[in-house]
Amino acid sequence: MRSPNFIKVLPFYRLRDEFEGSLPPAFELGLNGPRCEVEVGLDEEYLNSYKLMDLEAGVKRGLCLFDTGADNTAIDVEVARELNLKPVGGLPVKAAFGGSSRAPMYAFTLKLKGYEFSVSQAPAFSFRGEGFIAIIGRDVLYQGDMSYQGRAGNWGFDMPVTPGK
Amino acid sequence: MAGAAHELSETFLEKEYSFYELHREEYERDLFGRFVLIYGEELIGDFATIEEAIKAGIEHCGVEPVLIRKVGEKEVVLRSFSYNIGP
Repeated sequence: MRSPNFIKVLPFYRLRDEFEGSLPPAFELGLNGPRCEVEVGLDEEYLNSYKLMDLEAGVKRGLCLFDTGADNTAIDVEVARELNLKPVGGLPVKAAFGGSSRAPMYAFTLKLKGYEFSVSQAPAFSFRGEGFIAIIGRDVLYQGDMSYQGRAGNWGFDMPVTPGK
Repeated sequence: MAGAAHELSETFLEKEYSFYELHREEYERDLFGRFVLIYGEELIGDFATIEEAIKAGIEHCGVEPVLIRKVGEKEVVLRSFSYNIGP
């Protein structure tokens, strides 16, 4: 017997076909997840070392995904390459069918929503085709309050205290 | 300006991790809690903070990959990100 609160859940990729053009905010949020503008660059802590070695570092702007399912904040491998970041370790990643690999880890800063996060060892993966250049994981999220209002298509993230102290 | 592309692989920093494992006991005895900087099969130095180790790494070999590890800290294994679970 069905629960009185029975709800049938359809995958978004099927529901998406019912809409032409722009999606309602709730679907937009449901399909793409919570995203916002981000600027990724070299942590200013290392600027002098880059200058000493006559190295250049860039800045990249794009979208980041707030991912409550991710332990770690991460950036796209192509972005790490474009920014000329230095790999400073490898994060072991367990493969689904056994074996393991290492993802390069980088130090960088993320500027978003008025905050600047300095990450000292975050992994890089290929997010090609996903539409974002970084993932904000729970290593950042635990420092703030995140809200998600699915029906309204709203979400938010606030830091109650000054981060990085 | 763009550097080399380093992707997820079984051999990334393999030499450095083997070197660390070879010297693990010695490091845990003498350098516990310090950040070691390893490049190839060489310990470049040990540092109180990760920022100092990164700076030293840049000044030693530019943007070449290095291993920076806090001695005695358990290594975590990443299993998946939620965004790629699904159809």
